[in-house]
Amino acid sequence: MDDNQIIELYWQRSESAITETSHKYGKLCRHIAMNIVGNYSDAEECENDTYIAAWNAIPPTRPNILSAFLSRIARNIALNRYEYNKAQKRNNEFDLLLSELEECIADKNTVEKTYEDGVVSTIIDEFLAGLSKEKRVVFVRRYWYSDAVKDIAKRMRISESKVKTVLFRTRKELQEYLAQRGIEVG
Amino acid sequence: MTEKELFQEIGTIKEEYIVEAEEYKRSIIHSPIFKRTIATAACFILCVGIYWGVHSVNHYESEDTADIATQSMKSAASEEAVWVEQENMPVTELSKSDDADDTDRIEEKPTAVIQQQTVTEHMQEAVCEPESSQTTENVTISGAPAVESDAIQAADKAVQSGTNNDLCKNKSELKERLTAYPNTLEALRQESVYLILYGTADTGQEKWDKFLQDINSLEPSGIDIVQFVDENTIIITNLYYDGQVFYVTCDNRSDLEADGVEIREDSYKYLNILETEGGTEVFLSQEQKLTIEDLRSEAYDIYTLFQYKKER
Repeated sequence: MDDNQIIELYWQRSESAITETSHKYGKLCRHIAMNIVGNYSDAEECENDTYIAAWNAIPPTRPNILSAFLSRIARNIALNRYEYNKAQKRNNEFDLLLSELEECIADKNTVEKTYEDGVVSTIIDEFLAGLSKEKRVVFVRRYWYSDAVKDIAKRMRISESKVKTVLFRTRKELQEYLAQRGIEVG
Repeated sequence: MTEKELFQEIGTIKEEYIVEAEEYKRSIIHSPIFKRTIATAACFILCVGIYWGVHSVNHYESEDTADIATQSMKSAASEEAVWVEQENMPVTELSKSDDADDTDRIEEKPTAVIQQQTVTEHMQEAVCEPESSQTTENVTISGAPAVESDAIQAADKAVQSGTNNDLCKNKSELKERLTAYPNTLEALRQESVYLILYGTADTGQEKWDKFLQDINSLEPSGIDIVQFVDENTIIITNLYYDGQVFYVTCDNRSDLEADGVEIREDSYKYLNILETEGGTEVFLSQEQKLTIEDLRSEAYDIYTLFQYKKER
């Protein structure tokens, strides 16, 4: 079913909207959640919570790209679930991903917090626009979709060492880019 | 900002980038393996075509000789048949024959022998000519193998002389050596490797300089490069130059899901070293004189080795 038709079902408050969403994007939402929370039962719960959130958001929202809209919700829900579970369970792969992002932060010990909400995401958008398509896809797959390096290498048909090298360089470039635009840490 | 906050900020990027990453699937025709397979197949077809062409030309030239040989054999066979018939005639018939006939019959035997000898000579010529044409073909084809054997002999000499213990074209030995390297920084500093720590050359700079000297002199040489990319990622790469091309072998030990050493069958013609603002970028390619823009684009078959700044 077309995305516009699915959105129309939400607007009509038809329960088949959830069924159709599940058929088309259930696997994607589960995949994103699984990468973050690290276990299947939590990933399923995150998927179901995504449908509830989408049901509550549409209407009044009319997403431009339904897949991106659902993916973003699934990602945020999974991140909250990860925080909730953090005391009991750890997802080694996701912890590794977060530790990689530490490199992008210039200095953790600065006292003043000078960045405003929305500014950083705009800067990151500008940064991504300046990357080549391959580098941008590798970066987004790793730090948005939280894919493992092995999975990215398979999808891109490149070696894992190349993926690691691309990620390493891109993190360095992001660090310099953020520092040049005065992103300080609190 | 914490890493978690940065992760959340990344979550708010434009939807088009999210969709682009979901829909991006590198086509198999752009994969290096596919390109190399096509190139290998094309070279093989070209070689077969050249061999067939040369063989056809030589076969045409030897056709006349073969015809003579065939005709000679036929005439010799018919002569022999006549002689055998005469020999088998009843004695009475023989005795009745004239002396002249006997003489003629006796004389025929040497003629048949001579003819057979002649046939043999012709046959030998026919055999020899293909051999000489084969010699021609061998000379044509052996150009490439001769060059390759020279390079291998040079490499063997260097191994025997012990000048560079990184020279190793034997894959199982190479795999053993790469997997035997330790995992800790202190232990790796004691090894005979070129060590790059978080993008800065740490130890072994003289080994890298020696390797560059060797390849500039077109001498076979090899080096093991160890990169600490981050706390959890070590990449160990062997780079070997046989006097003509570069071979690269990479150890994937840091990847917990990997099966171990990734033996690459690939070879590259050129080693590129580009000075950038961030440092020096080193990569292998099939094309010469690539720029930074070429490196960033997807148009070229490139193997990225590492990026470094000189030792502190």
